[in-house]
Amino acid sequence: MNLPLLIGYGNTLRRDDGAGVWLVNEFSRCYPGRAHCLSVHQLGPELAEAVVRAPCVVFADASVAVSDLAVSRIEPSDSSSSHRSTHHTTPQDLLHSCLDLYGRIPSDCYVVRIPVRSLSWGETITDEVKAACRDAVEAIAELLDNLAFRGTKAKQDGREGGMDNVRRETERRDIVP
Amino acid sequence: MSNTITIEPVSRIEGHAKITIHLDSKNSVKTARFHVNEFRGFEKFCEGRLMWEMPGITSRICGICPASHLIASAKAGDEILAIAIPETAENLRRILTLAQWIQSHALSFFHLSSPDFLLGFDSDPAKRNVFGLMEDHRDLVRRGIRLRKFGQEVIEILGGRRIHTPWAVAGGVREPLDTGNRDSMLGWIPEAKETTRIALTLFKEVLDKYQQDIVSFGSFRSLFVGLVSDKGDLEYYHGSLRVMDGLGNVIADKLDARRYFDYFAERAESWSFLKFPYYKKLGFQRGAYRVGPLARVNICDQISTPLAEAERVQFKEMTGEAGAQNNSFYYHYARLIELLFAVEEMERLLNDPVTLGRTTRSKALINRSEGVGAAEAPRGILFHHYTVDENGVLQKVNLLIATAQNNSAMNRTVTQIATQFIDDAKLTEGILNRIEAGIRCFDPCLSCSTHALGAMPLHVQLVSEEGIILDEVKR
Repeated sequence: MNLPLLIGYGNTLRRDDGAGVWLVNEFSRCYPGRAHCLSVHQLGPELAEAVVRAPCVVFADASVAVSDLAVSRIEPSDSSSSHRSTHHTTPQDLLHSCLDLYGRIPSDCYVVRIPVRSLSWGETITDEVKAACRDAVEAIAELLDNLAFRGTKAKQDGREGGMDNVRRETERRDIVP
Repeated sequence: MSNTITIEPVSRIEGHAKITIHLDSKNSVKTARFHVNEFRGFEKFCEGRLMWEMPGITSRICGICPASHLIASAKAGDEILAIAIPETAENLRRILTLAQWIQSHALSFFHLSSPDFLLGFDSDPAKRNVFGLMEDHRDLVRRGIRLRKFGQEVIEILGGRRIHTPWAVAGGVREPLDTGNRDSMLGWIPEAKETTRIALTLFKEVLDKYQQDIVSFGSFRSLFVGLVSDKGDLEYYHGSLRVMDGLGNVIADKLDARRYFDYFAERAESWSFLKFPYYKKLGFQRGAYRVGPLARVNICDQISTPLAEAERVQFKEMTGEAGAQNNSFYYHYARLIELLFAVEEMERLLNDPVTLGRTTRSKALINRSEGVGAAEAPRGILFHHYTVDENGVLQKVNLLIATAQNNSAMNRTVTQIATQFIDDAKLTEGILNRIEAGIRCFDPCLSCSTHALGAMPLHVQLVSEEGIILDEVKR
């Protein structure tokens, strides 16, 4: 079975904006071999291939829109091509590109948003955000365990689901309004 | 009364720009200006830093071709140390430069320009982008994305990260290449060649389809400048400067790139932060020149790799008796020829046993107070010029960037397209896009050429002779 994919992204020169990258490194250290981990400056269509190969994808990013750690399930964006930009790609946009390019996406897609304290110049993240990242690492590990359990259970019950499954283009009507 | 059209921001380029089109009292296009309205002052804030830091600092000037800045900066450092770097380091720097070409040329062709070619200049602007292309040309877009990814992965393997790598240093490079990573790079080569050849076939069809449109896509005589090897081959790392005129005559050859300031000067205009370099000997008007893929393919006598050379011969046949291809739309064609060359040349270098050598750095202290590093970046020749004190602290920095060297040509291109397509003092979406497409031929990167922080949109204004804005489009 392919490993789940964890993508942390952000600008590591702007302190807490690099929280997603820090989180991924921490996850690799705490749970080696548990997920395929990628850290990138920003999301781009080059990542689509890695995403569609994974049974599950988790994006980790710093966010000014949340005050507490937030884990949420996401769907592909419903935006038309005119609203997507080559300079700013959201996880939802990337999933949309996966459908366009490969006709499928992982069955489970999540984004972890980490609240930030400082976005000034600097290569270190704040202690508060480090603590939030450590919480996020545990939350992601638990999430992946649950998905793996659900997949095993579904298999035993003779159903599809969990981390062995992908959503295909034929299901796109359900995904994209 | 006369008018001005403004296009701001210019889209699908790297950086932020505005175009104003000035009309006369009869509403005919008098002139057009490509304004670059950001300023960053990169050269100034490097003063006082240590020369050793410059590869790491200047690679951050831009996220598109940081590796080219890294190489030019490291070469300037080599000059200050007055040393020859190990052969292995030169091969590795060459591979990095080629990887930069691959990722940047693939971005330019597949992501930024092919939507115009495949969907049409007048197609729905909402879909005329790489995402719109995904819907109908899935395989081509997938291939283009993977080709760019190949370039990025080579940069990441060598430099440790895809952008802003500090891997090249004065005296060589930090790390050698191991066999496993070399083999991983070699594994991409067949697919990269295939994708490039598919793109070349596609582009030749485009040339036929848009013959009428491209007549005015910056078709004028100018000088062409770039590096060639001692034998006249297309060159991208060493070599000397060649200057060719629009008739294909070599008017200066074997110029030492380290003396660039003897041959080129820059003029500033009040309406743009992007300067206008020119060939000194012919003065500002006649000395305007173009750099980058079109210039490089025009000026070289041959290309050292077989597939790219065969394409160059076809390119020359299309040029005919003109001597040099003067139509800027052919930048795209030349870019694809260079892509093919980059893949073939990288394969040659990866198979060279020297590339896997373990000695990658020569060490020395400050031996000269001045150093110039020149390298062919994707968009054209790039110069880094540093003056240091005895401790290596920078006293003066000059960066002459490819996009700036194409500035006069970009302005002429915009004027030509505007003259051909605007006849009613009105901007239509199709005209707007053709003007942008004219600029995109040069694949300008404004972030580093102005040394400016770039977002990247387009603004066009239509301005009367009295300076009144009559029409304006932003996106």
